[in-house]
Amino acid sequence: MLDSQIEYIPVLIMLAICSAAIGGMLTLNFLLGPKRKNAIKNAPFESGEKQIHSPKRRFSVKFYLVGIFFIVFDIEAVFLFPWATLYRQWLRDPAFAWVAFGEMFLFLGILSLGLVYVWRRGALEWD
Amino acid sequence: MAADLAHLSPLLIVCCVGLGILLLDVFADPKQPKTFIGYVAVVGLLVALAATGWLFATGGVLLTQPYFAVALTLDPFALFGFALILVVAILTTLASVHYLPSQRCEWGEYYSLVVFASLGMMVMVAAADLITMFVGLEIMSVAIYVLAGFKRQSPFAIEAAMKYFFLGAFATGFLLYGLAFVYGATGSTNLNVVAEHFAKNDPGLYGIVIVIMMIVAFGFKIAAVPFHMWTPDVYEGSPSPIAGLMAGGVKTAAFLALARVFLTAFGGADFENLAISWREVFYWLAILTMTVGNILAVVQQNVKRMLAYSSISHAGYILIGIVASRSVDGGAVAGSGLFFYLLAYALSSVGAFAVVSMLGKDGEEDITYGNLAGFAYRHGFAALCMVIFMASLAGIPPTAGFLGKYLVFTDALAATHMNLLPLVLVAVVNSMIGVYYYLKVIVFMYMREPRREFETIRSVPMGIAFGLAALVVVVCGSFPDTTIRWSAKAATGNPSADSAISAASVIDVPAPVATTAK
Amino acid sequence: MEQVIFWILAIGTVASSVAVIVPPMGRNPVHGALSLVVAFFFLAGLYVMLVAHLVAVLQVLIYAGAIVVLFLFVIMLLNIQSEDLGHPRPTISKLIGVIAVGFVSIVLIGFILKDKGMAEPPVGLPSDSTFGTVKTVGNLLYTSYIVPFELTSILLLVAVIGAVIMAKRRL
Repeated sequence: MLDSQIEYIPVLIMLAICSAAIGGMLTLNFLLGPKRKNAIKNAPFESGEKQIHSPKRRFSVKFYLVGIFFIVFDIEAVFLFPWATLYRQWLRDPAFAWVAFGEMFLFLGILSLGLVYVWRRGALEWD
Repeated sequence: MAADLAHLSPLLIVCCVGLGILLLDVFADPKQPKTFIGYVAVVGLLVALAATGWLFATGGVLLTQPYFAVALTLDPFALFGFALILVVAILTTLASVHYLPSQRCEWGEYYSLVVFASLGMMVMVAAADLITMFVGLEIMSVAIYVLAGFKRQSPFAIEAAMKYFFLGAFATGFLLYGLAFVYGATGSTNLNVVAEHFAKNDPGLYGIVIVIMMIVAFGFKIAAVPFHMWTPDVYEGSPSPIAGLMAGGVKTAAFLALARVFLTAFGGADFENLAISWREVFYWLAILTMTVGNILAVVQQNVKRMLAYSSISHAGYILIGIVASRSVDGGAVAGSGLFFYLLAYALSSVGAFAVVSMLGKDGEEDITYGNLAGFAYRHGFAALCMVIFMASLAGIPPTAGFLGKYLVFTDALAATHMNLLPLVLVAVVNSMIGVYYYLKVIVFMYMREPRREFETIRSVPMGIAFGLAALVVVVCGSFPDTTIRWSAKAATGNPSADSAISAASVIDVPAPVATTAK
Repeated sequence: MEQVIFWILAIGTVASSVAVIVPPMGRNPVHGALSLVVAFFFLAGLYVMLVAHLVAVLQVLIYAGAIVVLFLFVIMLLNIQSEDLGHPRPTISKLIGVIAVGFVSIVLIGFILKDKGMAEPPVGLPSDSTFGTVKTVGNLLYTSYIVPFELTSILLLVAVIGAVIMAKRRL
């Protein structure tokens, strides 16, 4: 295995511990916990208000718009990662430093126009 | 660097126009009609067209900056495509300015989406790298998906947008999978490098997979049978000017990108000898596409659906031009008929859809042949233009469509690498079938009494749009010398092929930090 | 060691992908989507095995993070109950689907077992250990692929406009 892959072994160990902990807790709960199944125990709020309708109702489509904006600007942020890791190196080359700066400036500039558009169009408002 | 920016001006201008009118839209008074944004877009696109004309007159340019040269090629091939796409976009915009209010969907984003879609098409046509082509294709597709569903209160529009989106996304998946195989086989996505690689190495099994994936992906975009199912529904549900943009612009861009990819990257002799040769596949696809498109067009009752099937059958004729073309020196495209045909077809279909746009009123569009009855008595000029477009699509002289067919068929008969006589015979028979349904439109317009008063949109810009298209179709058909010269220039002159951007060296140039940072 | 990790990840990917559509998980769309998250994590592990570190990170950030959130939104927007869908019926298209999947699987398995064709190492690919790291990808993306990179911003902008036009309640 390569060095760069060995760095991921702690992540793997953490994942394994997490799964074991969660799985263990759920299993122990299932095995040891007392079970008294009746209508009152199964109600969402025991000894609380009675349910008037199913909680599984439709979401408003407005959430979807927010979700899409989140994804688009998330993808934009992803492009910053490799750029940020390399920028310090690029600064050593005076010819390329300005290109490196300018290209990201342009990229973010166009996307901020998108943000201006969304804002002025009122798409960020909860109408 | 400065020279390169001047050479890239068509793309840069279109990009700036798109961004500019987007801002203009959101900062303008929201109660004001959006017509003026359309005119601003037209002016901007005209400037880009002028820049393209200047570059085309100089005979194509070489980009010197390696960053640009690896991604884009501004040969006459690309510039011809730019001009055609820009003209189609301008006509679409002109046809839309009064159409949108009548359909109650007048939002300023429409124009920026049209401009961005044209930008995507231009990038596709000029791409020297498969990644650039993919990004261009996506810009175009995303914009067109939205435009297809722009009349969002109409269930037909939503259906059109959904169908187009799902099938388009699926086709994109095939394209990306094909790209991955190209990269896996050659280690590069640059078309010239891929061509060089396949000139030396046998494509083998990779070649077959690549060819299948690419044909499926492009087949969807050009609506070749059996990948055509979405076309009639999408054209019917979309706003009529956008249907024109799809038929004229998207198809032109997809065909030119297809020609560039297959003739440049997969044009080598080894690809001919594969178990599945793309030329053979296109040969049979052309026969299928022409025949199925024509037969289904005959039975349509709705004019927009008829035009959709007619655009399918035209994809078949254009495929003949692709099959007849051969790559010369791994770059240039032989066969000027392809370009002339694309011009004739694009302008005729945009014009026809612009005339059809007149028939929409009050958010309704039901364009059966019956609604065309007596059209000529009320709108003599529009009907005359429609006659010209129908004649051009049917291939009747003295229109550009006739000459386009003639040139493509001569190219096919002159081809030495394959016997294309059967293909041409099928095409001629199909052209005769086509005359029937194109004439039907003319018969209804001129020889039937109007059944009832059917409201139409009276709009000067729309009239300018189809009037200009008709003028060009007739002039190119009657005095074809200049256009034929341009097509020939687009077909042969390819400066980048001479200079042979040698791939590996270019890729290495701009990397200032090749060292590992440890 | 490498073999063991690969098989754990591969079996995990396939199992969690199957669970997306097959009952008991697949019966509830939300459970299916969560199972998809698990599949994405396993897939990210496979990318690390391929030394494609950037893709692995993106897999977690974009797919497991953002895309699945959107999936859940859509599931809850539609909120289709199993009563709405009716009983699943065998149709011809399903039969064709099964045949197609079976055919493709047989062809692929055949190729793998024969150890020819696709299995031969591709020519021309750089095979050093830094191939898919963030730095290598960045060095290519911001130099040779500068034009597609800038065009991507236009693509994202068009996507934003499209979302507003299609989904905003009042325009």
